[in-house]
Amino acid sequence: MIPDHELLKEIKAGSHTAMEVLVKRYYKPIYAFIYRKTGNKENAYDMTQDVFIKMLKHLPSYQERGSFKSWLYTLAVNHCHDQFRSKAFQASKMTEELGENRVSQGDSIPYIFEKNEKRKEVMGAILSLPSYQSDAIILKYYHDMKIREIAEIMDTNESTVKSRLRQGMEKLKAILQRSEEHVPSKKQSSRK
Amino acid sequence: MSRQKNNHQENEWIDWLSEYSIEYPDGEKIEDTIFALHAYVPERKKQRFLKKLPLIVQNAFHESLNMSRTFWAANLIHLMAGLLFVVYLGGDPFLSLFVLAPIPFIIGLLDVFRSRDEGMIELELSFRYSHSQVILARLGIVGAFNLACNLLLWSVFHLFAEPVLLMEMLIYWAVPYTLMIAMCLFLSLAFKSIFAAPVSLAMLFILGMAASQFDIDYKALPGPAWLAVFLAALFALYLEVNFIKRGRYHEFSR
Repeated sequence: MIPDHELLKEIKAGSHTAMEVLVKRYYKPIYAFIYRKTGNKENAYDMTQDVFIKMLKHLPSYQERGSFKSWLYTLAVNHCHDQFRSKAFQASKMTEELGENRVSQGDSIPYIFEKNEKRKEVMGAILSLPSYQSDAIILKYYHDMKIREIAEIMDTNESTVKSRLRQGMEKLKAILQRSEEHVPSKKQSSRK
Repeated sequence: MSRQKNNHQENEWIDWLSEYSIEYPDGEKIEDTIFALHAYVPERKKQRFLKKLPLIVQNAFHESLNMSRTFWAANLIHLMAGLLFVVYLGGDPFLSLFVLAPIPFIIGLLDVFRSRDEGMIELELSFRYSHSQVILARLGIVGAFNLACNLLLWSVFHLFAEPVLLMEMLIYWAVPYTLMIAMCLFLSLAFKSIFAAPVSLAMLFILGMAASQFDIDYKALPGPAWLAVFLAALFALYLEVNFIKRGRYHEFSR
């Protein structure tokens, strides 16, 4: 596999093939991060494209101090923050996606219903967190990143990342606990 | 006991998080993004002196950096063999150029059509320049460098061996040279160069041997006839270059 820094050198020299290889390498992780931050498929698609455009625009001035991966995630994190602040995004926030049903063939209807409910619950819980906490949790638990890497991406120190993770997890666990307490009552109400 | 409980809670917590699955866009949409990104790839850096030159010359300069060692070695051997045969061994300069002149060009065609023959066209198609432009640029380098080497040899022969007359230059060099490269280029367009190059070389050596062994009197043919053959070969080359320009460089291959 060609290392990132080699591909970056090629792209800086004008290679379109190297750009394709690099984008294909990072498309899915960046899309997944943005998707979990926005909870919306269309927004995630557009914003992923914007992140890669930013990456190419800033490439000539990019100084290879840290890893390219961290820099790309930093662009994604900052782009999400910028978008969340925009009025247009606030207006369209999560409306379509929360109502979207994800059905796979072979699943029974109660199972699909339960899966969708759980998914909405986790999505809602993550989206309810302050941005700096959800960033840390998504990078740690969905992208298997080390505390040091997250600190580099979020431009902060490791102890701050740890405290953000701890606070975020406490909030999420409280939500999880509440939902578990609601499950029996939901089942009872469905029996009625 | 409390450790087991913690592990259980941690697993439960991770299971809960994993419910937030991702639905990725389909491959076509990802390709659309990549297509849009092509517009943002930084421009290729050009040397100042190159910016003023036509595109084909600029391409030729870039492609010259990618020519294989075999091509440069063939040119070097061509020069050395020509000088050795004529200046040191007292050989016939006309026969020497008759046989040697087209060799570097024929071997150079292996480089010109390398990407087509090795199935790398798809990769090169993603570059800024079309594959036709790349092939023409390489052809330009091979032809120009070969011509320069031949003119150098002619100058050396003229000064140190035998004065060169225009008619002899036409009969013993220009005609066989243009005919051979036109034929080899045609074969390379129609088949893989790895087949075209040895066939052309074999024909060249058969003609060369015939010329030296049987003492064929080429001068028996009138001058205008030689000129007509030369012009016909040039016209064939012109048609072949046009074929390449129009992208018809792999019509019959494979």
